[in-house]
Amino acid sequence: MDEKYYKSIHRIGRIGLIIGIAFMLGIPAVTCTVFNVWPKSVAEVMTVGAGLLAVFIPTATAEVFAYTPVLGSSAYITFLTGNVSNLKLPVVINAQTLTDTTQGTDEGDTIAAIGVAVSSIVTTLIIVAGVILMVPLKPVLTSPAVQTATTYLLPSLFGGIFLSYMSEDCGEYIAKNKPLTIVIPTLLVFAVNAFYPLSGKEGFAVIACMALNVVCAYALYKAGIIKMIPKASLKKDAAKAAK
Amino acid sequence: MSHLNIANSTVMALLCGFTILVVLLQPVLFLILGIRRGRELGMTDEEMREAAVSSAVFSIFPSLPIIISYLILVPSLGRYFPWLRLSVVGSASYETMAANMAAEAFGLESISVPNIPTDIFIGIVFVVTVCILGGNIFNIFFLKTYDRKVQVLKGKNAALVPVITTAMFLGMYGTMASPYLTNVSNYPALAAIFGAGISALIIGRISKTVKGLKEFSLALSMVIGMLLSCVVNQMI
Repeated sequence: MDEKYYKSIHRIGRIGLIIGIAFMLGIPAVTCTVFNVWPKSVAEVMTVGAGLLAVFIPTATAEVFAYTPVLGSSAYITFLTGNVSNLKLPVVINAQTLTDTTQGTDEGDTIAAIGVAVSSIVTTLIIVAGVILMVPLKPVLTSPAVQTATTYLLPSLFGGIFLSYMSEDCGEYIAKNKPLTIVIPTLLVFAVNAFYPLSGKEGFAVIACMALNVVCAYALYKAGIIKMIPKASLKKDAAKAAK
Repeated sequence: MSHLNIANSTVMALLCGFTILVVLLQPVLFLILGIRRGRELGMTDEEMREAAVSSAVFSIFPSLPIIISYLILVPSLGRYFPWLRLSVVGSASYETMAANMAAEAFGLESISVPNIPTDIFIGIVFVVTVCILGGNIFNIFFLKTYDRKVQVLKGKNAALVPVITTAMFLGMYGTMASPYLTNVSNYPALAAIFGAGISALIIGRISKTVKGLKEFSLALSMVIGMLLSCVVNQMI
């Protein structure tokens, strides 16, 4: 990757993040000062905060490690603008698949930045519209049909991504036998879940499954079972065959 | 003074609105830099436009639950703070869950009790703000190094990186999807998962011949999954 671009994009990302975080923390701080209302004790806030952190840190860690190779430098704006796994990440996967770019390359990074940026802008505008039109929208959004549809939005999203990820298409490559990766982790999850229910421990389960999947994929790749064939070479072969 | 006086005050509106604007400047900046960088790399405008349009269209549907979460939070946290949280940094599922957990930990029955003492309200605002910053703080300190590691790995063995990242994804989305996949009695969820998955595969096939369809593939398969879940829900 071009060193100058790499340095500048990370510098911009970091500065932007620091400013963003400062503004976010500024909201409760300024509110306290203006209204002269303060939390009862710092200790209480910290105790409550620690309880929440214990729940959210594993998921946050898993997200950062898993998403960064895909997002590259656009991880800065992805985590800053939020709605990561339910919106930004599918956006990037979709945009990279669409343009046949690979995660972790200059092109993949650029497409990720464009996807996340456009998605953040669109979502913010939709939410603004939602906030302004709250009164007329409320009956529609709380209608049983919309309620049911949105209840099943996440499974639809996971299904759409998960099953299409099972195909052998893989950025600039065709990954032969890729779906075999999940056989062992799947069996193991079912086995563990039968004796030790994983409900409520999803954060840890996600990290464990990701690690296990990577080990399986690496082993299958090294054993030559997963084969990576560059699409460019396939196109060349097809062109040769046509001649 | 009730907590809603603070939550719906002009001060809160200005603070939240200004923060959203400041944060939103960054995607705008990244978009400009991304397009410039794409041109340098020899990517076509057509390619980048395709990615942008598809991302915009896809973003519409997942925004709906975000607005619904907003409606849920407004009576408790006022009009402006949930607007900020859901526009930037937070997520539809995190916000309602975190606010509720914080309220309970502060000794309230839930976030939806009518009168939250002002000091507890401020406490909740502090806690939900801080608790989501994990990923962002990691990024300030370690993203550059981690990104570099990925690049080095990629340099050593170009074909291995997609294998590893895909494996991570399969692991992650697989685990997230598994509660729906294993609960065989939840027919609408199964209909949603398989409906969306199978339509994604079918639309993927069709879009190889039908130009322009590819951009809408994921959004369309998601809508099909949601519609199917509604139909199945009506049947049971």
